[in-house]
Formats: sequence, C-alpha cells, structure tokens
Amino acid sequence: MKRKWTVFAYPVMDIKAAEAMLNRRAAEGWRLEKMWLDLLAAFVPAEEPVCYCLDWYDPNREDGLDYRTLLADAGWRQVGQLSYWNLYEAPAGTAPIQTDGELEYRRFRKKALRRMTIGWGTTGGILAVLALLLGVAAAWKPGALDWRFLATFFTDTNTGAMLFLLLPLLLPGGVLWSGRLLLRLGQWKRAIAREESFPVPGPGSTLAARLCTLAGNLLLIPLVLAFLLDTMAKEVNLGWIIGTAIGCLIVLGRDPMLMEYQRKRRYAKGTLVCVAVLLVLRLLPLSGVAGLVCVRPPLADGRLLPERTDVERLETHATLLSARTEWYEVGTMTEGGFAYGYAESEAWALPWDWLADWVTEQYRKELGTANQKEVPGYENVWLERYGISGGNYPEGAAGDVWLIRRGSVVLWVETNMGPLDGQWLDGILARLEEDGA
Amino acid sequence: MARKKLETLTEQMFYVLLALRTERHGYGIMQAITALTDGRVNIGAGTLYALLERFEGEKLIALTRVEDKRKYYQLTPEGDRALREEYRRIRQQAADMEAVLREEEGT
Repeated sequence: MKRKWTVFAYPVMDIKAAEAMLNRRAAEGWRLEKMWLDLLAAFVPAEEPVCYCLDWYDPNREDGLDYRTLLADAGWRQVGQLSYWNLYEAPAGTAPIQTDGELEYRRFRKKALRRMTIGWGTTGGILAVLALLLGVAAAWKPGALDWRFLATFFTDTNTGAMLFLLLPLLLPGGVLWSGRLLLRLGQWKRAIAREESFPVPGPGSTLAARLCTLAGNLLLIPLVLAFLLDTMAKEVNLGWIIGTAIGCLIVLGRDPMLMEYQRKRRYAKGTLVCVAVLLVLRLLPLSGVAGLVCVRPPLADGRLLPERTDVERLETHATLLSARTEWYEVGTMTEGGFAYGYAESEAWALPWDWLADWVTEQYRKELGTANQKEVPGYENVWLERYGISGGNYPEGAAGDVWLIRRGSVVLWVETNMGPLDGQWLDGILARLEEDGA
Repeated sequence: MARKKLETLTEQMFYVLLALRTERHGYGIMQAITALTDGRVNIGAGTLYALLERFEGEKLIALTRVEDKRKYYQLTPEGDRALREEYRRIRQQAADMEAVLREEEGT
C-alpha cells in the first residue's frame, strides 16, 4: 500500500499547528494510519474524506466513558495518543470537537497545564530538596562535598557524563519551550477576548519549533546509549531494575478490563520490556564490551608504590568521556619491618585540557601555598613533603603528597611511606607515557 | 462563549438549554440543535460536554438517567427561568431594533 511518512515532532503547545497539518494531509486525500515512536506519522490513501481534531487530555487520567461515548456518537474515532493530546478522526465535515475557545482553554488548563505544573513542580521540589540536603551535608561536614563530587560526574557514569555534556543544550531548550508555552497562553487569551478561534502558528515558527522538538528527541538517543553502557558496566543498581520489574508486574496484574488502567498497563508493558533488556545487559558479562568504548582508566594495571606494598583496594570507573582510578595500598614501612604505612592515590583521565587544568588547580590548593613550585627538573610535578617521627616510624620517614599532570591525566598520591625518590617518579612518568598520557 | 455566572447566554448555551426542554442525551442535543437551526448552529461534542457539566453544576439542568453509557439530561425550573430570561432579553433587543428601524423609516 502507498504510504507517506511525516515527522510529527510538534511541541505540546503547538496543538493547532499539528491539527492543521493532519487536516492538510486529509484534504490531500491521506488518512493517518499510525504514529511511530510518537515522532513519525504514517499516512495511507483515505477511502472516504476525513478530518482531524486534537483534544487535550490528562496523561494520568482517562477521559470519562460518557465523554468518549459522546465523541464517538458525534463521529469522532480515537486514532492516536501523544503526551497531552488525543488524536481523533471523523468523516469530513463533522463539527470540530471544540467550538468554544474559552471552554477549549479551560480544558487545556484542567487537563494539561495543571498536570504540567504538577510534573514540573514535583521535579523542581525534588531538586530543591536534593540541593538543600547537599547544602546541609556540606555545612555539617565541610569537605565531604568537594570538587571531586562534580568531577566524578564525568568519570563514574556515562549517564551523568552525557547529562553534563548535554546540559548546555538542555537548559536553553527548556527556556525556549517555556517561552513558547507562555507565548501561546497569551495568544489564546487574546483570541478568547476577541471571540476568535485559537490561531495556528505560522509556517516558519512551526518549522523552527518542530526542528527544536526533533533535536530534543534525538538528544534522548545518546542518553539511552549512555544508560545502556552503564548497565553493561554494572553501574546500574540491580535492586532498582528488579524493583521496577516488580512494580510493572503489579500494574499488569490489575483488572485488564478497567479502562482507567489501560494506559498504565500499556506504559507498564513498555517499561517491562525495557527493564528486561536492562536485566539481560546487567547480568551478562558485558563489562568488557563497555570497556572497549570507554576511556581506559589510567595506571590501572597495578600498584603505584614500591614493591613492599599490597593493593588493598583498586577501583576503576570509566565512561565514554573520561576515567578514574583509585588505589589504597598498605605495606610495611621498611623491608621486613613491623610498622605499616599506607598510600591513597587517585588518577583522572579527563576529556578536555580545561577540565584537567581545573582538577590540577584544585589539587594544588590542597598542597598549600608553600608547595606551589614545580619539582626541579620536572614540569607539571608538585610535591609536598613533611617529616614524620615518633611511634614506629623509622628514621628519616616522610609524608609525601605528589601531584603529577601529564596531558589530560592528573595523578595524586598521598602516603606516609615517603620519601619517594626520583627513581619512583621516573617509573610513574614512564608508565603514564606508556598509557598515552 | 461561556460567561461568568451566565449573566447572558451565548448562542450555543441558549440552544443547549432550549434543546433540553425535552429530556435528551448529549448526541441527541447536538442533533436537535442542528435540526432546529437547519445546520446554522453546530456545537462540538467537547464543548457540549463542558457546557453540560457546567449547567449541571449550576443546577440549570439535571441528570435524569444513564442508559447505554449515555447520560440523559433535562432542564430544571431554574434552567427554565434562565432560558426564559434570555428569551425576554433577546425579544427586548429585537423590539428595540424594530423601534429604531421604524423611527428611521418614519423620518
């Protein structure tokens, strides 16, 4: 069958532009066959002339049976559903569903605007509570929420890294979306005052809005891919996946005949399929596959300190953008001795020089003003050294704090097993070079 | 257009109340209005539903029964008063217009 595809990426406030497009296609002899991913509309030749109406609905609440019966009696058959819109088709010439601008505006307020406000308000509230909690935590335990918290967004999860990366696009997108909504609200109110029907936005404005909406939808692709990578890399909590699956099964277990649950059941089915995919990705040994496309954690092939230490903990995190390695090593202070020392180290492989500069700057602040000079003979290497005496410390023991920057890799080593000598430093620099830093 | 507290009725409101002098369900109201006005006034199903909700809330109409998923309504005495008041207003408007026209023709 002959089929025509159209990108149907309209922002929610452009309901009249979307309706006008469907009616243009209908006037050309096409009928809407189906919507694909809420983004593409497939049209087939119409046997009888048809017309379309888009009606607001509350995504959390089905329209009443009497409302749907009245629309059906009047000739309107529901042919699709998008966020906040029900798509109806009727034989050409049928009176539109809404013939009173003010009542249509009231329906928008009751069905869509209130739900949007609740949605945005809830999101804003959660973010405000989180910000408050972070603020309280920062005030209660200074240093607990330091610059590392921000930097780990890039290194620990692909979803976090991608969100951070897309933030410069997402924020203006949100501002544009809100501005357009306010513009429409103003236009609709003016139309009501003049007792006119709601205006259809011009072709230029509609095209720009469609392109922005399409771009917004396309941004979901890297976010989804990032989330899948995180799942493969075991960064996504298994309990969360199983909990979501149980929630979906509970929704699906409700009475399938009840109209009120039909949309929720549809969402639950979709979510369950997604969760099943996540579960498979999480359980299969695919972290190696994720590792192939992620940045290699720097120096993750072993210990950093001399051979008398053992690695107590070695943690690596990697994303498409950057990676981080954390070590905690312990060992005897002297060969065959009884006193034990430690070393805590952290290495960052960052995506941009400016970010590596910023991380280096933060570490340098921790070194203190007295240690801002580079180690003689070594560029971008800083050292803070202090003597340690007493207890079981051997003669000449020192605490060492090393900061090494090579390219976009930053390494921080803090130990009470110093002094670490030039040979150790050369070894580390050679390893960094081998790593491609 | 829906007015605050129905000080005056819009054409669509007037015809909905008029159609409900006889007990009818939603689509029956739409058909009655189309027949009565010979297709001049068409009321959308969504608009009609909102008006019925509003009229019922203001006790101008009352739900009489539900049959085959359809709600039937009829005018209440209060609704009848509102309709007659609107009728009186429209007649007064027509009379005023006629008086002006007569005066113009007489001069």
